[in-house]
Amino acid sequence: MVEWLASAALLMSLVGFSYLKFTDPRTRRVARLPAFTGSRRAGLAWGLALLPGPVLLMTGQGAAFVIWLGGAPMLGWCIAALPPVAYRSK
Amino acid sequence: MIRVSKSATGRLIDIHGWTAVLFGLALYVVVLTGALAVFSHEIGAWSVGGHGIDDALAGPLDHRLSELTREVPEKYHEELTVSQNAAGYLVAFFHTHEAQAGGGLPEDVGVRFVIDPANMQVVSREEGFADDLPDVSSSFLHDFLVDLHVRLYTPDPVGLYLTGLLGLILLVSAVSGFILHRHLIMDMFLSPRQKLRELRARDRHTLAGTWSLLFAVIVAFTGAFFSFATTLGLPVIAMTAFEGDQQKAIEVVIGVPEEEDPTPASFIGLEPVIRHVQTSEAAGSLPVFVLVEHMGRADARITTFHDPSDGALFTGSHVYSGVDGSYRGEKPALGKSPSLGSDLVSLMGVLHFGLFAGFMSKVIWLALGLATCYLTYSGLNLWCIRREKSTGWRLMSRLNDATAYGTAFALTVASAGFLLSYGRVPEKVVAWTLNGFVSGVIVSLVLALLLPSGWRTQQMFQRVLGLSLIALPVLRLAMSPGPFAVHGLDLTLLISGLLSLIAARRSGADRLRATERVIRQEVRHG
Repeated sequence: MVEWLASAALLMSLVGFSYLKFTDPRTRRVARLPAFTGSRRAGLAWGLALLPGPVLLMTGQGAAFVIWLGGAPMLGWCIAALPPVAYRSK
Repeated sequence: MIRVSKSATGRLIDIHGWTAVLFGLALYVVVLTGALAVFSHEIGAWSVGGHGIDDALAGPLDHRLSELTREVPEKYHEELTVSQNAAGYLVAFFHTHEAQAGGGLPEDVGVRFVIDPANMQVVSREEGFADDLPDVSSSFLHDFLVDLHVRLYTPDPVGLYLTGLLGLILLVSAVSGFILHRHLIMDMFLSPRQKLRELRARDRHTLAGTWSLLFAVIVAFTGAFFSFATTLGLPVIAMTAFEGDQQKAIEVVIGVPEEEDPTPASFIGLEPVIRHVQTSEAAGSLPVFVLVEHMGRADARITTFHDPSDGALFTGSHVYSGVDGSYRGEKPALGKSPSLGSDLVSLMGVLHFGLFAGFMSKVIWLALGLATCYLTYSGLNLWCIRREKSTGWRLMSRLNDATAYGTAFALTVASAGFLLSYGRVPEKVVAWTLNGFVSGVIVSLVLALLLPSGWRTQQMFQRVLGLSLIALPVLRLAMSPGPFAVHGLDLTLLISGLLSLIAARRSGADRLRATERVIRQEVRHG
């Protein structure tokens, strides 16, 4: 149960971080990629990435929360460290 | 973004950099061994080829323990601890508390039995002060790894002071790094730029620091707390609030012991208590550690200690009467009744050890530990790259490589020493393991001194580490009877070794491409 909850929470954060990385203006500028077209909903993406924390805390899922607290930054780092060339074709 | 003046920034860079230069290498060793210690139990089981009995405390204990109780001097009946070590053996320690000949605080002294749970035969019997007893050979690899992390394998309290200090150093580095990095949010997703070596090194360090900042602060604070709590915190509390009486301070913090009643009374035994504590009425799980106080007296008490049960964060302990086995309820970590302080201390354990949710939390805590290692290594690497015109800093750079790869290599050689000795000369396990570690350190230092600084040193270390990691499961299979992939460790070692060799190959290829790029640029510019 704890593992499933934590995995779902981490997946949500992964989606949020991936969107933020893909649309990050500074990353795209440094990599000389065309600017992201369309409205960048950074607040929404941050919300999606960080929402599992308070939800798990408020529902009393302490163990799942601490797993998420440790795992989310690791996932964020992995996403952030990806070279921009990985999505250059888009 | 935190705005600081130019002079303050300069001072912060000095603090951030020089703490890394002075303490970074030792910090790396403590953090790496801490990250690996998350799996110390699995490593211990792997080192002896695995063991089939994980629940020895649920087995028939009482008959053998009552025989051993009759054998040991009566003064040692004051306390008995029973647990299962990483190699699967039961360790029973009958003891009392006495000061050493030179004075000082009372210490545990008694008789320690190591028992094979398969047939309940005594494997070894040792008598003396707990700190002076020889190491248990079957779990030595586990104990060595933990000891290296907790006290850098130096005697107490010096080792605990050292690791506590390193925890505070990590805290200072994390906070100063946080203030120094002005564009924390803006650069959060910036991939390391590849063109310039210094820029790439800076981006890598910054990215690692940004994402592992929270864990670095948590692990630094909790680590320093655990190192200083008993060595410094308790004496200070005793001096300030209990007129120097440490025993009184301990009693108030842990809980004042019940009134003593030395009237002889028969002991209920551990089996009925362990059966009950596994029911939903009590802990609902098998204890990992059992403490018996005042065995054979009317005030006998049994306390069982448990890992967190499914979904819970905190470890638990449950108290029973040692005379009739009646359940007295759960005991908080501190004091006699639940309190915020007790919960906070328990939370520190949860956040530092990462053992609260089985395999998943262990994997994440291992990754977080390795991330902190990378943070330390990349920071010192960046500092040295910026000063690489100086011979001294080039040497520092090589020492950084030697520590980063060499510590892991030395641990593999220590493991090889354990594997080679455990099955054939178990009485020499300690010497072989320690000599293996020291040999690994010496080889690493020699390599660092002989090789030129830069990518060739890293490549050589990656090759050496990769080969040693691949050799370990082969050696383990040859020396111990367990099947392949005990706790998945054989496979993990093989994969890690291959990854290290691939990294060595790639770093060579990357360097070749970079050289070609420079040559092309030079040709273009005439």
